[in-house]
Amino acid sequence: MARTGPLGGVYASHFTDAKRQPLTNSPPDPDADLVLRVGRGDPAAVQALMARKLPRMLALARRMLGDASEAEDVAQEVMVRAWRQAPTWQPGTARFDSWMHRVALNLCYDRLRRQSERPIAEPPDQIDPGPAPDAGLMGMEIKDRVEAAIAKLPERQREAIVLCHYQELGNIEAAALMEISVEALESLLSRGRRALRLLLNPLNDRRLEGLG
Amino acid sequence: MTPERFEQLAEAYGSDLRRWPLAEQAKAEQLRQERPVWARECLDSAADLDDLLGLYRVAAPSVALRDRVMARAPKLQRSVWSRLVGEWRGWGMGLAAAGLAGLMVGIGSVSLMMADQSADVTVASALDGQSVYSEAVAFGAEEKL
Repeated sequence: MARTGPLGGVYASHFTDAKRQPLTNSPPDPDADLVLRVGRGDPAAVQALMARKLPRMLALARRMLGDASEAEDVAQEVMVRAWRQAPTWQPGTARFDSWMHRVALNLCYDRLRRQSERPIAEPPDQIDPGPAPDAGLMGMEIKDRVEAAIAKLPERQREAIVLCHYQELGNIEAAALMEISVEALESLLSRGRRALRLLLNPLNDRRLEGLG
Repeated sequence: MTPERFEQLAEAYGSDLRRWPLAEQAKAEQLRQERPVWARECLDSAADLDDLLGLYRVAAPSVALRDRVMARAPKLQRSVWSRLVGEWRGWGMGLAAAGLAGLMVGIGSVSLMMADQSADVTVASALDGQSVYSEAVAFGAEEKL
């Protein structure tokens, strides 16, 4: 099942092992020429690829990690690996954009794993008198509440929403990146959106009242 | 497409049919036209969440980040023109150096020649002076005589 994203591309059917398997019945990689030129050391191509991909990788990492500084580190590392990969990249295999997403997701998961392995500070002796987490969410600007709600999602649901909604990847490409079936991806998306709706529900009510 | 499937797709992919699976977009559009009021209600619910998600924007990469990325970029290949200019500059520098060296050698040679000549003149003058002196001595001797 292939589909086009809002940006118009029809997406590849598989990413896993795609570097070794030529894509069939798919349009050419829109980045292929640029990557080829980067591999030859063309300065204009280097600038163009950075302008095209750095914001995209930064946004992906930012929404996956919820931390601006860590997101910058990940985006920088992805670009550095792209520079190294370009001279040996073979057009007609995987899309370069998919490969970059794969690298970025791996780096994000490495950092998320490290975060979860960090020892938790000793529990406080007293109950925190501050606002409850939900109340804290309500006290924030709307965009910050959305950011916090996305950060609260389970990692796989967050990944599905980030890839499909924000990165505008096709369902098949996103599923391949996550190494799950399209049906599993749809389930993660549905559950993720339901959770977000619950977390942001008071906002919805208020916005609807405002619109009414 | 069944209404249930339409609702599932709206729940998973949101209100924009362009984000839905390509193979199901046409059928979904057909159902939307057949049942516009129901479809509108279904999509509006998803659109509210889409609008909220749209508020989460990520700032553009900072100049410092872009500089760090560029600092690790592959060694830039010079353009044909800049290479030619570079080569001509190299040749030019070589020629200029050769010319300068030639000039220095030339000046040196001329200086040596001039030095030789002036030495010759000095020697000649000295010799001439000696002969004049000799002649004077001889003349004086003749006077005394």
